Amino acid sequence: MPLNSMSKTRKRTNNTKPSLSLIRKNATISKEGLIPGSTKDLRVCNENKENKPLKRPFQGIHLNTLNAAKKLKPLTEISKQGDSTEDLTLEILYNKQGSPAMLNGHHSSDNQYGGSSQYKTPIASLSNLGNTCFLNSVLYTLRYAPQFVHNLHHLVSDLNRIEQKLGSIRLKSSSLGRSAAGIASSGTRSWSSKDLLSLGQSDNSTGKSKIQIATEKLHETYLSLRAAESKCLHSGSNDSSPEPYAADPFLAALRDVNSTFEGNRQQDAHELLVCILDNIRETCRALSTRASRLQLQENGDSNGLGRAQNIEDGGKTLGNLRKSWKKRKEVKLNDKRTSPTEDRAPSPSDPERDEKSLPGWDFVADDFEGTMVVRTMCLECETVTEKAQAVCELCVPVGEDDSSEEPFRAACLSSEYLRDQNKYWCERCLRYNEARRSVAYSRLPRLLVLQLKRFSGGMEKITRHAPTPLLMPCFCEPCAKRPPEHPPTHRYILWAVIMHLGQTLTGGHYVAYARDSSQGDVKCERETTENAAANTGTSFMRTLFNRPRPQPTGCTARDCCVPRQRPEVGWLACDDDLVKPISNEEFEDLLSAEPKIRSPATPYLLFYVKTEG
Amino acid sequence: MGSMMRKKTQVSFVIRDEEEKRHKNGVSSLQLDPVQGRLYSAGRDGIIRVWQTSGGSQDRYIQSMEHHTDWVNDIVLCCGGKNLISASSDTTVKVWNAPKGFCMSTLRTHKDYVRTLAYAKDKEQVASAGLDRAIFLWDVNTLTALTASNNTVTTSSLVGNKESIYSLAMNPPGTILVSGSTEKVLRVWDPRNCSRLMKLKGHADNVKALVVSRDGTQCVSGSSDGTIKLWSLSQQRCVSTIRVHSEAVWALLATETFSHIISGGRDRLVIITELRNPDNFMIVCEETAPILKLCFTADQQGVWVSTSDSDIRCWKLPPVNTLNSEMYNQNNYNTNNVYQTQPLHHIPGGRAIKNYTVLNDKRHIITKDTANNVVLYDVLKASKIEDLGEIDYDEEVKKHFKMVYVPNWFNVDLKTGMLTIHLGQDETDCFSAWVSAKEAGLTTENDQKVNFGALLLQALLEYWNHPNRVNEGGQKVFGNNFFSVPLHTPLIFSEVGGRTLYRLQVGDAGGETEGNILLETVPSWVVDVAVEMAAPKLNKLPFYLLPHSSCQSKQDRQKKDRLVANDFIQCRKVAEHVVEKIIGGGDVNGSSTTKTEDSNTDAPEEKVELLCCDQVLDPNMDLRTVRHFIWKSNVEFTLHYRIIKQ
Repeated sequence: MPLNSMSKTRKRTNNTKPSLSLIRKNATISKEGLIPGSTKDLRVCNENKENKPLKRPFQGIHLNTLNAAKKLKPLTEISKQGDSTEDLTLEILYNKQGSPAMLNGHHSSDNQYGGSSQYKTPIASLSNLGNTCFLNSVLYTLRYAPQFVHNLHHLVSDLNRIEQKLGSIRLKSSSLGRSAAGIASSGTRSWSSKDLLSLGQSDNSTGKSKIQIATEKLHETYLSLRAAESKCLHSGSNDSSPEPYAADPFLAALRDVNSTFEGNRQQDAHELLVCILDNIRETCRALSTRASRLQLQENGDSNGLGRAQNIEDGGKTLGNLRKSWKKRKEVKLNDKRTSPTEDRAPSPSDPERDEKSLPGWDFVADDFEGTMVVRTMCLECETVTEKAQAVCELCVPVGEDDSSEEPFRAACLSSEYLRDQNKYWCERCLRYNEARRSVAYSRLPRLLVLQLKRFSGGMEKITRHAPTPLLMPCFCEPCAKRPPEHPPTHRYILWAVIMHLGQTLTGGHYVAYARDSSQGDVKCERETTENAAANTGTSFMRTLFNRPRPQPTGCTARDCCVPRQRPEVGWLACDDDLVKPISNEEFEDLLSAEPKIRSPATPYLLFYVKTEG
Repeated sequence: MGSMMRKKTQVSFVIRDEEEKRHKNGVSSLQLDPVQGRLYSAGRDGIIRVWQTSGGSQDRYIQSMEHHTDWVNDIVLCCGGKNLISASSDTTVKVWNAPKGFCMSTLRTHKDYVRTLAYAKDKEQVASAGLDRAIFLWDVNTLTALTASNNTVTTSSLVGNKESIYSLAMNPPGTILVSGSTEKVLRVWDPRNCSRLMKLKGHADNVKALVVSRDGTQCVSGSSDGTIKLWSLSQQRCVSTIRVHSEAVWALLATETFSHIISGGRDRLVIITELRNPDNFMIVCEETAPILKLCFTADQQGVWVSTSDSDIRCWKLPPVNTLNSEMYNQNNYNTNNVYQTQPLHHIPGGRAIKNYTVLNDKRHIITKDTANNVVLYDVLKASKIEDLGEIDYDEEVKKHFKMVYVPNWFNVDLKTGMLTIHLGQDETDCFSAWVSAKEAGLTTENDQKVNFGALLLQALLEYWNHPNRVNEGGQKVFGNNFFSVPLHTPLIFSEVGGRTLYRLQVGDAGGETEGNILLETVPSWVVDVAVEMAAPKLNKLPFYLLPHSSCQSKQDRQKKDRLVANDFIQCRKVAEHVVEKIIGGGDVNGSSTTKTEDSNTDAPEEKVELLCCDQVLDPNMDLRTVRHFIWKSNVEFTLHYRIIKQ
């Protein structure tokens, strides 16, 4: 690398202080990710061992993220790092203390960003099925969403397990000498008709709804991606990279649910995301209903009483189902607000048990849904009317002001006066008065999705640069109310960005950038309850993919569908069948106001994950 | 283009008693005439009332000053009690002859609600400000000298306010003017040269109350942020922040020497605080509603308090030297610890209407007031029908349900606590309700149709001697032939959704001045109907008429018959049409019913029955009612007929 460019790099790193803190944060994450759980650490080592012949290029990439270590340790020592977990952790600790000066020179093996074509740790990719980059970008993003695939896995396996159990009970009850009429009424058909009730449109042959099938196909997509990575890894062929996977089974299932996605047109990635999350939510509801039915069945209930209750239950769920997540009705806070979890069909299980381990736990509501509170105060009587609304993503206008430290806080926490020709009808004063209306968030989700309003009312796309902080303080009410000298209790870390190229939402191209954080280490609430499930629901998949049984205490998601864990921590540029790791610097350059490498792509959807403290 | 077009004019009226002796809504402002012993109170019912303060508990009411059409937000008594200036949400400022109680002139300079006034006694100068962000300075002597011919007034305006102004104050010599707004800052002017002096920051919310010391060096502000702040204007800073209220502070009153401040607000407490030592304070009393205004009694030993309820009470103030005792301020908000629990005087208020239901006949309204009193009104005759007392409102509404549909032709407004009716804004809306005069109980004649909007406008403008009044046998025609409305009924013309153009009582329209103003004000579509007696257009309702499926019919009758009829005609008329035009020659074969004896004298409904959505229709039901209650859609309205006998 020429000298002058080196000095440029140094200059830039000095200017971008926030990026440094992020790099440290990265390191912390990876460190936390690697220390606990010896089996996993072992696996990391194994993978590295398998890659040993490829040491050089591997290191090159590795250095992108562990750049600070480079100057501290001679290369030979790094080459050994695969042999011992301790070495790895040690290195990261060094990295944590890395000084800006150590950042330069990290491009040694990269030409432009992502230029390392010799990269050999397999990462699965998705092929473009014809204008399906909107789909691929969302699938990539969710794949790397912290815990998302893991939770999806448990949903699908629970669903399979409970269906099997319900099926076996059906068999049992019909073999207990019931009359033919009894079989007909309590047999498969009657249940499936009830399923039909609780699940909306239903496929008659299996009793599965289209929505449920779509959710299962989504899980299968991730399972296939993971399988492709494993296959590549086990093939022994050193420079093979996984064949791009065609996600058409999922796309077909999705089109069955929502006809918007029919035809080979480009679609709004945001619409797709909302649709996928909606499907999962409704699948959770269906599972929850079935789980409570199973509970009743297992309690040896054979009289009409329990049956009647079941039907009632199904009816209730149907009501819930009709309420689409997106169009959730506004609820006045004065009335006791039903939280997303209370909204579900009641589960007869022991209330002491952690609800997160219950089948049908609506993790979409927990992870993606915040609560927006709109308060309106009449300026005459000063009565405040409060309305709470569930929101799943925040729309942020692309502001004029580029300099703001917290660009989204100001955009999301608004306060305006209703006056002049736009006065407020005060129900207490029974007239139009001036009023102040403010928007706040009593709760922000673990996974915060921000949609940049680049497209408004058929106008030309706003291509103006909008600052994308890698780390931002939380602005939920408990955090925002804290005095300025106290930092907020939560912070948000950027984990993915979906960029859009082109002039319209239904045209152009989407590319996803996701932080490839290790996910195998998620603390699974299900580890103990999963054992029973291992024998039923998920086992068929395991046999299908010829996979050894997991450790009895392990979480089944770990070896099924979550992305294969890689020792490297960094960003992945996911552009259809081209997935390549890029360094933090390259990624930050993409988001900066004056990127070194100019690109017509603009951030459209931003994904943040909440951290405490 | 838009600015060149004249805004639509809306016709409204108020249904009320001739004399409304009690405030029907909150009381925004109070002024005392210590010489005459009179208290002026500005009501949110749009009426300023005058009360006798001396004497026992007998009726204190003296008179009402009526001309505003919306909340009166502030009043100042000036010229030693000769004149009163008022500010209203009808966007006007009015000048009154205070002793006689009539309105001398109306100032229409403001473009939005006028929220507050300030008075410099020594200079007889008044400032007005409001939600249009403008402050105007008025010379009271010029205002009171205005006549019909000499009606121009020059005003100086103080500019620079960026947001809606909710409070103003001037010192008596008129050297300092302070304004408070949603901008959360105090802006200070020198009204002598209209120059801006300073901007004082410190409050966290709207500033709704202000007082300035006589010498103009100090100012006290009360804010929606719950605090009272003492400012030094000479040092341009906040001297102290007084936190005695738990909620917004809306009213302030300073003692003559500026040593103590009396405050009130949303927490309903009246509190007196020593300005230089805010630890010395005392809760004077607890009111029943948020406090809007405070005003000293003549001897300054007591305070008149008005609230967002309609009552006005007078409370005894503690001697200021007793504030030093620790007795009352041990616990800030312990309201058991108030100085007075019984007021010295009480001027009881009336009840504000809070709920209303327009009945299906679009003529009667049932209301409920703050004391849960239920009343039945007749909009058409602009009068109350019956006071039903404290009965179940919802039950009463249910009891009056009739399956009849009449289009809307007016809106109801309760902002003043009284029933204000806004007629439809144009001929289409206002004249949409045609009904049978017989069913409306106006005549016993059959087949006469009347239009509610037209009848009411004719009655409201009955006394207007318009040159175009039609002659019938050399006699001008006034009013409608059925009824008159009460003479005292206030009739209001205003821009749609905005400023009042003219208000008069129905009985006063005969005057020459009033007649001339009406000529300029009344929209032509109203003149056409109310004066020139033109009949409004009828509402046509298209529908399809088909034989019922149970009734075999000739091939050519299978196609849809598209008909148009007046929306209020009864099903009987349609049956008649079927009998005459469709069955006609009687060659319809294959009716499902058996033939009985011939009867030409039978009413059409006995030969043919009409159905809508397979429901047999009452021949007395009109078409729009069928469409509304049975067809339940505005498109493809379809009726079927079935022959019963031939």
